[in-house]
Amino acid sequence: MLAELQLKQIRFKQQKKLNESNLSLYKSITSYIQNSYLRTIEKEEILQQIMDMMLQSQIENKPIKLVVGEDYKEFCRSVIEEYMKSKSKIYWALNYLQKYLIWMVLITLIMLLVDGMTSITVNQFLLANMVSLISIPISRKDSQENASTAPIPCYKRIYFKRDLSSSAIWILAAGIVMILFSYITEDKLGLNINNYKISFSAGIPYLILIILIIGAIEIYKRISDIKQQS
Amino acid sequence: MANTTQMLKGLLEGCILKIVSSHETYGYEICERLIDYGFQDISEGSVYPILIRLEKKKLLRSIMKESPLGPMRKYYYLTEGGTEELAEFISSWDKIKNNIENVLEG
Repeated sequence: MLAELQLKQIRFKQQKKLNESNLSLYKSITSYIQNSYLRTIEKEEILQQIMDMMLQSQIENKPIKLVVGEDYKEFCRSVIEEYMKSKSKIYWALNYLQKYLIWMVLITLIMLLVDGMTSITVNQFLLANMVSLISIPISRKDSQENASTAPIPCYKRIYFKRDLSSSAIWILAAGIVMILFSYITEDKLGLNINNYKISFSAGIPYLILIILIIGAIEIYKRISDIKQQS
Repeated sequence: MANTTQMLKGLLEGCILKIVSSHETYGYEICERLIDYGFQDISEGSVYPILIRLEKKKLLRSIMKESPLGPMRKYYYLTEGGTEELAEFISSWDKIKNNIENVLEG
């Protein structure tokens, strides 16, 4: 954590040296990289290198496209892809599961808090799960595509629209699953499960279990990162 | 020749290994060297991703040191695997070059 913070501080200090157009490009790149699934230390490593290259090209009065190319998004994508390719499918599946569990616990706790820390309904719990599932792909993708501070050329606008529509599909799919669930449980099975209450005290052992799983995944991720670097 | 870019990018990996083998170097310097050698179009935007790939394949290793410009800079070195890969690249390139020359000479 300390190394990441130190690197971040260096970046904040050094970014003042960038000229206006480079700073704007640097901010767009930062936003794109920050919204990827890479680890904080990997993002810092990348951003330090990019800032160093930008500063040098600025000093030598050379165009930054020599390093970044014509399309900075394409550049960011290939950098992120190189890091992602080097990790196993299990790593990414566990990473997704971990993110989902963190979101789910947080949203459920917020719902509990609103309810005075007593209980939530099955319906609310389902909603928390749905929101967690869809928020992971949506939040990252849209933030990346919105990263541009420069005017968006036409072809990039098409990308943007495609991603928005894929987000809409996710939300629609989640909505359909929820409606189907309540239809099957209430109308077909005659159960009114959705309004059953799950009390906070009964949920504590599950909460501890989930937190342990999140921790175990974190340990796995760190070990596999260390193995890769050595 | 739609695959020319792809092919050149593969060759770029070998060239980067060669540049790193001669002395301790870093991203921007490698870009500059490649441009000096005439690889401008192909190296734009692709050198840094290749450096990451080569490091992940353990053909290169790096050390982060403070750059004279302020940020932390990665200095690259060839690993044992990288040295072997470079030797292989040179011998396959020699073979390809000879073959193509023979074809062109008819």
